[in-house]
Amino acid sequence: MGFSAWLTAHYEEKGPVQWLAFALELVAALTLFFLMMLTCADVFGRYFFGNSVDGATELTEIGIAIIVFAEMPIVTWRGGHVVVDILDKIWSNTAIKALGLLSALLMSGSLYYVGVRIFEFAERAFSREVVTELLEIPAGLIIQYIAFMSWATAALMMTYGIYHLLTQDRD
Amino acid sequence: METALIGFAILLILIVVVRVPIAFSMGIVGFLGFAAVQGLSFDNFSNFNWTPSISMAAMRIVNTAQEYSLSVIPLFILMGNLVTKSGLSQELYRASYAFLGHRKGGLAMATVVACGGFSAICGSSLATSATMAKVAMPPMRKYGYADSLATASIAAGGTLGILIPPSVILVIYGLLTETSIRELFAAGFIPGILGILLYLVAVRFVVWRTPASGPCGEKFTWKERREALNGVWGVLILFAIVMGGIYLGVFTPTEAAGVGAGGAFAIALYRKSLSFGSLFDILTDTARTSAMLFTVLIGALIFSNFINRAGLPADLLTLVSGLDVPPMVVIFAILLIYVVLGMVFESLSMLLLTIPIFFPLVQSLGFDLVWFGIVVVVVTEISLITPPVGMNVFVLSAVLRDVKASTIFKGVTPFWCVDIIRLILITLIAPISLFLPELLYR
Repeated sequence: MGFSAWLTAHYEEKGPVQWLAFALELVAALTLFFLMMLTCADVFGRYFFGNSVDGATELTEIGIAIIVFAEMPIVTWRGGHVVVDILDKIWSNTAIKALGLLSALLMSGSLYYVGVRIFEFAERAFSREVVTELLEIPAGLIIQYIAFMSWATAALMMTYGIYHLLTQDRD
Repeated sequence: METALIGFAILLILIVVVRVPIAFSMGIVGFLGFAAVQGLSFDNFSNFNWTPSISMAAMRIVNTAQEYSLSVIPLFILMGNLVTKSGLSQELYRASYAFLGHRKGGLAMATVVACGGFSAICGSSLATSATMAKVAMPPMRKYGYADSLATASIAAGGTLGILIPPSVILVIYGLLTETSIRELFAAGFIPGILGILLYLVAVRFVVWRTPASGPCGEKFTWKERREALNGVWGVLILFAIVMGGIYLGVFTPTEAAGVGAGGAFAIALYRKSLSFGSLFDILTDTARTSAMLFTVLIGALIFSNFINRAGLPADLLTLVSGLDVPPMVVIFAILLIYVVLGMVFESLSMLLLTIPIFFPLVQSLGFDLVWFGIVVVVVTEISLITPPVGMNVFVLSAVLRDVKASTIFKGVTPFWCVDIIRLILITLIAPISLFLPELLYR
């Protein structure tokens, strides 16, 4: 199977969104794999060679943030967040789609506004030159990443997410 | 208390009627409620100083997304997914079948035991039932087991996934209540074994009532049994390293999760069950589940900030102390609320909605939060098989398309009854859950 065929078979998204989804998931997957290896190396290093990996804790912290926020747009536009669906039998298809639109608006709106504040945190961290304990990675970088990904989630939800919502069939 | 109750009512409307994802509902209500406690009203909406509440929410997001102890969530899920992929469930089933299969109802018993074994490496009940359904259903069909008994043993056995450590739900409970995760993991072990034993009793009861529902399978010789056990050494070693490591204090839960995932990866490589494509699928699936769980957790933390600021736990305590009833009555009242909520809510939503409210009350009444965590998880397990919304049952009827949910619900009744017995035992006899943590850590 060629890569393009594999991509189409694996991703329900269409066009450039498919590539975006793949790119984001690749980042998340690589980071997760790295996180697993890092923890193993840290533990083995400590118990067998008396030397743990420098900065493993801070790399882990950064790693989780990267994984969670790389996946956030995809989980959100696919409607992957936990929804309580006990009233679904009562609602008509149109009503469910209308409620979905309202949810999309609420989610995107809140992510946008909270993103603005997170971005301000990042600027503050930069201006105060906050860095991580051992590796001295600027803390503002990762906070900025969280802010950007919150905005990206909001923007993608308002565009592709709504398209997905309106075109998908009800299970 | 009024503000908190109004907030709670709005939250329920948002998640049940308006169908807003629970994470965002909790976040939005928590944020607006926090603002309301700070003095927000309809009159000052446009010129209100939103900074404290939006900072609170933003801070929660930034801190939770970079919380070191939370790396156990993706890593334990990864371990479970890798083990599922490497086909160990098949061998777990074969091993328990070798020992139990020749008895009446033996295949259903083997299913329960294999579910218990699978729970020891997988922290999710839904994944446990879905995986075991594929493995355990065909042999039970072959021997003419009644669909109700066969599916019920998988649905009920699968619930053990969230109790027997490692358990994702216990990790989330630990984070919400600031309880030690390793103590929770130690505490879940004996109640999990008790669950397996009581489910075996339930199977015996069913075949005693209707012997035709669970005929005997073939008998294995001791040599064959030993051979069958050979297939499960991987699971046993992995569990021994991960949980043994945590119990003995060699690893922190985070390190154990990383080593467990690494071990599961090594097992999968050894068994040649991985390709680049399937590894990518496992990693992305894990990342998606983790992102979803983190969002819900962040929402719950923002909501609990509001609930605490609005003084609901303190008011609830005053109210309960005014009633002048023994503390145990309060616990049973809480459990009753859980059983009722469990009928309609999905397990994670139910826990996240209620734990921020109940745990300060339980703590002030002088109960141990580790014990309460186990009690709450057992009651959540029950909710997974309680009609009309029993998620484990739904997952099963989705995997086995020809079995109706109603058949499974009917078959699950005896299992549900022994679950209630177990719940009462664990609630009244605290040492069942606290013996191991006391022995190991206190």
